[in-house]
Amino acid sequence: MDDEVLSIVIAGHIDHGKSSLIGRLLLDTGSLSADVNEKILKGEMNLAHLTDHFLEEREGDMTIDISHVSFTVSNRKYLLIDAPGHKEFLKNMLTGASHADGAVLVVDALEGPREQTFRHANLLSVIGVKRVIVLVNKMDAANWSEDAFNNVKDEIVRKIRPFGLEAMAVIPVSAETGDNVAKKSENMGWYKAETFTESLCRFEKRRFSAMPARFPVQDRYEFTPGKIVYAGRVEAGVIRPGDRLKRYPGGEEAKITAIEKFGRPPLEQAEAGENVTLKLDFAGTLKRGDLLGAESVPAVSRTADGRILWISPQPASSVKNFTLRCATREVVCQIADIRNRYDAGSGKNVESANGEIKEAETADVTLQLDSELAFDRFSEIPSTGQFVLERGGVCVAAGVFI
Amino acid sequence: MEYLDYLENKSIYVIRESYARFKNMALLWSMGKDSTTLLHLCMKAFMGKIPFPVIHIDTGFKFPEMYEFRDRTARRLGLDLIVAENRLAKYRGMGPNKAGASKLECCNALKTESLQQIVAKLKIQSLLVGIRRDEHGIRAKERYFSARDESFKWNYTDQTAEPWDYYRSLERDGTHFRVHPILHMTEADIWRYISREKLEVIDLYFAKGGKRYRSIGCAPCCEPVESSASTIYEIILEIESSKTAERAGRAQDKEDAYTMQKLRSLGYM
Repeated sequence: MDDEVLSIVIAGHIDHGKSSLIGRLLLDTGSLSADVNEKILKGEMNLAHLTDHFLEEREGDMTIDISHVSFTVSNRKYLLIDAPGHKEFLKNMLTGASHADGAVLVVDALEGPREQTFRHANLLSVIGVKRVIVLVNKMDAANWSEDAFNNVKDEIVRKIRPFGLEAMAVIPVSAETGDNVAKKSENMGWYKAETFTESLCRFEKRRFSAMPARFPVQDRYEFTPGKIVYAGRVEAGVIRPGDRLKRYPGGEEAKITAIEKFGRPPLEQAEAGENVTLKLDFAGTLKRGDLLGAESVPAVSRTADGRILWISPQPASSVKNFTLRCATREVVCQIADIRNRYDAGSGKNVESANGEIKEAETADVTLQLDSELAFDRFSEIPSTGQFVLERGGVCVAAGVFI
Repeated sequence: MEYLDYLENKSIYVIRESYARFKNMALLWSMGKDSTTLLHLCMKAFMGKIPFPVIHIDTGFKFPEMYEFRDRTARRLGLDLIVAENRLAKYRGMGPNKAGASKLECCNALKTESLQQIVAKLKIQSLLVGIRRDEHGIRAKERYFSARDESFKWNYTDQTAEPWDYYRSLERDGTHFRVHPILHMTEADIWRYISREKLEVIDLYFAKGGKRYRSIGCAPCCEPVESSASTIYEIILEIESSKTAERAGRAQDKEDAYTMQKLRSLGYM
C-alpha cells in the first residue's frame, strides 16, 4: 500500500455525468456496501445518487455540495472529490479542488465541452491543479462512435491548452454501462489504450520537501511557565535542529534548538507536512503569522500581485477592505489594480474600467497591504504562495501570487 | 511520510488552528473510538495537557462500561471533564421507549438540546467533534470548520468555501463553530491508528459470543453486529471485507433515510 492518499477532483459541466461516474467506479471496484450494491443491481437506486445524500440533491437530481469517496486500485488509495457543476456552487468546487493532486474532467460525448467545463478548467488552472485526465462520457448515447469521440477529444484538448492544463489521457467511457471505467469496453474495440482506473496511476502526489524551508508560526505555547515553544506546520522544505532560519518580515535570525512532537524523542528533522513545535534561540518573541524561512528569501512587501478567482455573489467593488490570509498571516488589504479580467464561462475577457470583478471571474490584481507580508510566488513555493481574501470572515476569493 | 502520520498531521493542524483562533473551545467526547482518538490527538497537539474542557453529553442511557471508562480515563489524563445533561427532558420522562416519542425526538431532546444548553452556558465559540466523512453520507458533506447559527442550524445548502486550509473563523455573538479534526479518517484508519498508538478503547467493540458493537451510543438504541472479531487486527480485516454500513446498528439512522440530515440540520453531532 502506498503511504499517502492521492486526491482527485471530478470536474465538468452539469449533467455530463460526474456523480454517475463516481457511482460506477465504486460499484465496479467493489467499494460499496452489500445493501447499496443490491439496490443498484435491482434498479431501486440511481448510480448518480450514491454521493448525493441531501434530500434536495436526490429530489432535484443535482449535486449541491462536495462528497468524498475513497477506493483502492492496484494497491494505491484514492480519494475522489465530487463537486457540483453549477455556476452558483463554484465555491464548493474550489473547496474540493484546492485539496486535489489532480483532476478528472468529464465531458459529454454529444454536447462536447460547455460553460462549466471551461469554468472548472480555469479554476483548476488558477489554483495550480494542472494535470488532468479527460473522460468523454455517455459514449453509449453516441453509439460508441469513434468519430464522435475524436471530435470531442480534439475540441477539448485544443480548448483547455490555453489554460495551461495538461491532458495526460483522453478516454471514451460510459458511466452508465461501465465501459472503459474500471473494465475494458467491448463496444469500443477501436480504442486500444487504458481504461480510466488504469490511467489513475499517472497521477503523482504533490511534494514540497525539496523546496526552500518555510515554517509559518501557527501559535506560541507556554504550557510550562518560562518554556516557550512555537507550533506550526512545515509548509516547504526540511528543517533540522541547528538550522539558522530568518523571521520574515524583519530578517532576524532564529536558530532551531529542538524540534518536538509529543510522546516522541526530539526529532532529527521535520519535512513538509509535519506539525511540530520548535524551541528557538531567538532574541525576542515570535507571533502567529510570522514566517520562518531559509535559503531563498521570500518577497517582503506592502504590495503583491496575484491571480484571483472571485467566488462571492457580491462583486469586488462593493467593499474596500479585505482580510488577506496567507499561511497563518492575516493582513488588511485593498485591491489597487485589476487586469486581465476574464469570464471562463463565455471565454471572454471583460473590460474592467470600473474596477469590478464578479462571481466566477478571474483577474490579475495588485493588492495594497496595510502592513508588510512575507510570501512566495505560487510557482516556486505553493503553500506560502496561495491566499484567500475574506470579507466578514467569509472567503470571497482565492488566489495565488504571481 | 507514512499514511497514519499524514492523517495525524492533518488533524493536529486543524486542532491547533481552532485553539489559535478561539478562546472558548471544548472537545465533545462520547467515549467511542472516534472521539477517543480525537482526545488522544488533542493530547498530542498540546504536549500532554488539554488546555480546554472535555464535554460528555450524558443521556443517562449509555452502557455502564462507558461511564467506567470515562471516569477512569478522565482521571488518568487529568481532563477538565464536564458532564452535561438535559435534566428537564429527563424529568419529563424522555427516553428511547417513551410512548409517542420518536428516536429523532429523543436524540434531539437528550443530545442536541443538552449540547445547546452547555454551549450557551460556557459561551463556547468552537467545539471539536469527532465525526468522519465515511461514517454517513451527510457527514461527507461537512467542512473542517462549520458554522452554526443562534438556533444551532447548519445551513448545508450554502456552506462557505474552505480552500486549502483557510478555515472560516469569524464568530458573532450566539454562533459557534463545529470543528472536525478527524473528518478525513475512515473507520479502518481509526482502528489502525488506535492500534499504532496503543489506545485503550471500550471492550464492547470486541466480539463476545459471536457479536460485537461496531458503533456505540445509547444502550437501548445500539444493536451488536454478528462478528467474531476479538482483536483490532480482526476488526480491520472485518471492516475491509464486509461492506455493511458502520452505523447499520444505530436505530436513529433507520427510521427515515433523511433522519441524519434532519438531526444534523437541527444541531446534532
